[in-house]
Amino acid sequence: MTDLIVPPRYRTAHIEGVQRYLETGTGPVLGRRIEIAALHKAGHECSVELSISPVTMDGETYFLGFLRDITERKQSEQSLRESEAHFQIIADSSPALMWQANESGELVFVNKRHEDVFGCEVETLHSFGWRRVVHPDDVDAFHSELMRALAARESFKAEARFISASGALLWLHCEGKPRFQEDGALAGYVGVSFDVTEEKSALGALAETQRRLNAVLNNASVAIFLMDANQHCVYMNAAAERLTGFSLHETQGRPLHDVIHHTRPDGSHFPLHECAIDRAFPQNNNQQGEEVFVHKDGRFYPVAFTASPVRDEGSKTVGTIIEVQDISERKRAEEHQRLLVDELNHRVKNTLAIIQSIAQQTFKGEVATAEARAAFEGRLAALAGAHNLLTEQRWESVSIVALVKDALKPFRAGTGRWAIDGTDFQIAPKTAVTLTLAMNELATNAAKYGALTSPEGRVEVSWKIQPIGAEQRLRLYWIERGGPKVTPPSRHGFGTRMLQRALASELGGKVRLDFRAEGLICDVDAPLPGLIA
Amino acid sequence: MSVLTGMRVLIVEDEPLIAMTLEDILIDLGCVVVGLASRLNEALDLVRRLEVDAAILDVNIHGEKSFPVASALQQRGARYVFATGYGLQGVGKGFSNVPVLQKPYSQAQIAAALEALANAR
Repeated sequence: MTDLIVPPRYRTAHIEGVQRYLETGTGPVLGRRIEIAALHKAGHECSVELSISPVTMDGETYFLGFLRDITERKQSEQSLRESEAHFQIIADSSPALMWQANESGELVFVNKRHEDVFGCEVETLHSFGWRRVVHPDDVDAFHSELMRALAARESFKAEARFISASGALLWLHCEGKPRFQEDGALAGYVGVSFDVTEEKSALGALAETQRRLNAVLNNASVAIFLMDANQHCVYMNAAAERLTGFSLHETQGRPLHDVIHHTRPDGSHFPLHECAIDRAFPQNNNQQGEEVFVHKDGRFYPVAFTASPVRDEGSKTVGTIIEVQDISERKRAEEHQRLLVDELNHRVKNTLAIIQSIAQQTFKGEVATAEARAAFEGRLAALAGAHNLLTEQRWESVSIVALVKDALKPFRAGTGRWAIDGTDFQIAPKTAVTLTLAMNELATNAAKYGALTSPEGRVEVSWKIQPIGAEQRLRLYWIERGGPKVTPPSRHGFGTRMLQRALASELGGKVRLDFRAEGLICDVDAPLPGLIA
Repeated sequence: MSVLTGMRVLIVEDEPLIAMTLEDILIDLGCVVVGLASRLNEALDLVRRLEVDAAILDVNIHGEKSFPVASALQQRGARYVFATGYGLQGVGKGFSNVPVLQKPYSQAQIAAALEALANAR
């Protein structure tokens, strides 16, 4: 038997072992299992498990032996060892950080890369020693994800900042899969952590760029729209939302044109294909111009726009960017300016017509004498004075006090002979011009023939507002005293007609001239509403 | 004797000095100034009450257009011309065939305009 199954190299030891047992009653291989090589009938050796027990029967010693072929087990152990060696090589050469945790979440294995990065072996990380390598701000979130995964027996996934052995900050994306024992109990986790620091910083830079871009776009006063190839709006800035009244999501599902540009101011439908803005996309060039958009609340508003194509890397047009500015103010200003120019033209023509009238009346039927020329110049000066005063008041209205004082100024210099007194109120520009010319006629007359020709002469100009029934009336008096004896004029000159016809007509009232011997009195009685601007 | 002699003319003009001079011009030309209005309601009243052959209408009367007076004159078969400092664009669309005198106008221009009205009759 020995010769049959014991390989020749063990035979001597075998015989000696048996002999020793018979002499001493002890043997190292007895009563236990040993693994040993046996000789197969085919001549090759094979692994066996051997258990030998001595049995004494009737004084005879027998050896009871159990042999079990363990070739397969040996082979699987071998391949396990190889597989573990392979894993070790893979794990240690992997750029990823690999780890294993037990069922309590405690790290029981980390690969070489992990050790290198954190400068410590797995033992250091036991008992939640990993907390030391996680950024303090991320510890809590990381821990709670770990606890959640353990409790739910689910995959673990977390991103956190870590501190490497060199003190550098790195972002790790950690993922672990649960392992279960045969009985279904959680055995632990196997996991991998990737360094995502670069991606994170790229994302951070992108977010920063985005933030800056948003700050620029949303603080811009010009409205900006981005449209895709279907002319649908994919972006609008804050100014665009304010301008149109629509938020981005309200513009979705149809071309932007159909949201804000669908109707012409005349109420007719405005089809997309006729729109100049949308032509920037198909025609691939910049479009500029003015259009009228429709606000969310239905009103129309004029805009200036620039539409430019957006191209991809291959220069293919993929959308349109549109800048839009509300030009209502500009349009209003232009309209206002147009009206002003028209009005100015009208006033100039009217003033020229008035000057023409003054000239005709002044030089009527006479050769141009030096006296007539002086009168004409005085009238032009009065007209110019009224215009100055009105221009100061932006041609809106003018104070009657300011007007009377201004009209009489050339006649008042250095004299204490004037008394001017009256309630102040505003009068309309047209009335102001006529009243100024009338004052000029009265004062000129006083200086030529009346109170102002003698040192004792006095002129009193006074007015008041008088309620007559339900009506308010202006009563204005021009009273001369202390001048030479007055004789009524032999003919009606410009001054008389100016006062009795022009001023009366302008005021819609009555103007009475009383050439009393002691001095001229001019009495004006006119309704007040016609005067007030 | 001119066609203007005895022509009954209405003046609608809110600037009294201009109205005064226009009146003088018309009298010089032999016309009869039948009325002088410086307000629209006055003018409309005069058109209703008076026999008028021709009228000279300032377009802008105290900030309002004198077109209602023009329409009233048309209804009564009276001829008229506009006078304005605004230029041709100041006259409304419905009155494009009406002669327009630009301010300031001369006596000769007034005479020519009124003669044209008289001859168109």
